[in-house]
Amino acid sequence: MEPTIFELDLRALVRLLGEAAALPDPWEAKRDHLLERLCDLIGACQWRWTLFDLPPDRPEAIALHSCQHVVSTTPLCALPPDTHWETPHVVVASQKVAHQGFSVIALVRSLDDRPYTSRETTLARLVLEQIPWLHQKELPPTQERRLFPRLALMEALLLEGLSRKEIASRTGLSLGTVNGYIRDLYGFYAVNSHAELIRLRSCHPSTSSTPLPWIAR
Amino acid sequence: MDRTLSLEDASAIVRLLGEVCVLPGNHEEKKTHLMNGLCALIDADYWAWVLVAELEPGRFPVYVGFVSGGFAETQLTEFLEIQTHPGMIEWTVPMATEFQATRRHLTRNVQDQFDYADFLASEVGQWWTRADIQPRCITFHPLDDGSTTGIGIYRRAGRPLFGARECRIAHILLTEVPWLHTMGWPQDRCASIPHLSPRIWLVHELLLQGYTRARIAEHLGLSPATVNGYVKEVFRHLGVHSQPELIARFRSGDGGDIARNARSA
Repeated sequence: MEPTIFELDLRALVRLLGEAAALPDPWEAKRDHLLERLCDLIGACQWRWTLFDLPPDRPEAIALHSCQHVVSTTPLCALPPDTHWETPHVVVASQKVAHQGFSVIALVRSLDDRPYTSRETTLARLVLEQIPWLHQKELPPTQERRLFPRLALMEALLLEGLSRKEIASRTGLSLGTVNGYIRDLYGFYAVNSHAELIRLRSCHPSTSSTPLPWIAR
Repeated sequence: MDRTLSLEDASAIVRLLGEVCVLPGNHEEKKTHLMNGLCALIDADYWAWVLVAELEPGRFPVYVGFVSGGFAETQLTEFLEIQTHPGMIEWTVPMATEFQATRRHLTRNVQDQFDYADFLASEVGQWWTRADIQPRCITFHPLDDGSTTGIGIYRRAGRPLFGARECRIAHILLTEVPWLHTMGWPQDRCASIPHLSPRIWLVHELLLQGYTRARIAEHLGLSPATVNGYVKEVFRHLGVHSQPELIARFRSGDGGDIARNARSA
């Protein structure tokens, strides 16, 4: 039989990820939020993220005992330092990350607690294994061509529907300067008018020059 | 109720949301990415997202916002035109009635709302088929001010209907991410939207999509003079003086639009 997940559990994950998506940058804050909420969801008392140069031999043991490589962690709960960690109390996911080595994320449950159920382990693994950036120190750069900040500002204001005069007064720039920027912006998108720009930036990815167009609304 | 989904679908959903989390850009880009991803997951071809100010069974809904993906330019016009077809109303009655009875988030496959063969054979059904768009499932989500967001998911003509799996995936993704529904609309949502006749509404939507007057005339098969008349009508209704100003009126965000409205009022 095909492996399954309860709809209720998936809904909880979707809610959690939706919340993280709505958080403002930096993206590292989203990782903290996501892992903390995941701990709440499966009843873990802490999460630890460790980076290694070489593939770890026993990831769960090393991740828990080596403190010097720990990049981020919630405050340690009151557990004796030499506790022998049993895997039923730890969910571990390790991934090889390009130019970075090996990443291990461990979600730890207090030994006083019962072991994880397979349902809880499945939930945790879904998040730890399907979201690669949780394991990364830096986000890979996006492939799309980027506008200079000034041109991006012009674009935002034009898409907001402002006229050139209004843009000049809003930004404190001269009309000549604004005209120059807008000429460059139209050149960037190869359009000839304000309405054309809006049209281009509001159409579907498959017909647009950039992978994820801004929807003019 | 212990309903389940395959682990494969769950993985794809988590992966998609993980991408959305770190997507650069505003919530509109995130919404677009999420909807395109959802369509890929359930093998759909088009999606459309509207804010409905008034949803009364048996009457033309009053739409406010419109965001879509997958449509070619000519299809988008056809799609909007079909929405204004009087024959469309009767097919929206079952879903609108069920939704208004409870005002709880609802997702339904089309074949569970009405006899799909009858729909395809109807005049408006043939319009859909000619446009190479056929509805597959519809979602309504209630907003606290009494308005509703509606999301339609479509396939090309002649492709299979959705089963329970597709409907459930869409339902889960669209119920559990509240900001998808609440962000990106005009700030006052619906309060400032006058009732527009279907023709005027269509021109209004096309202007919001950034179409030039010449394009609108071409797409709708109207003379430039007629389109100019409609455009003037739209501007008068909304108290604006230019297409960019109209678009600004419907942009959410920093509140710049409100100050502008106050000036022009």
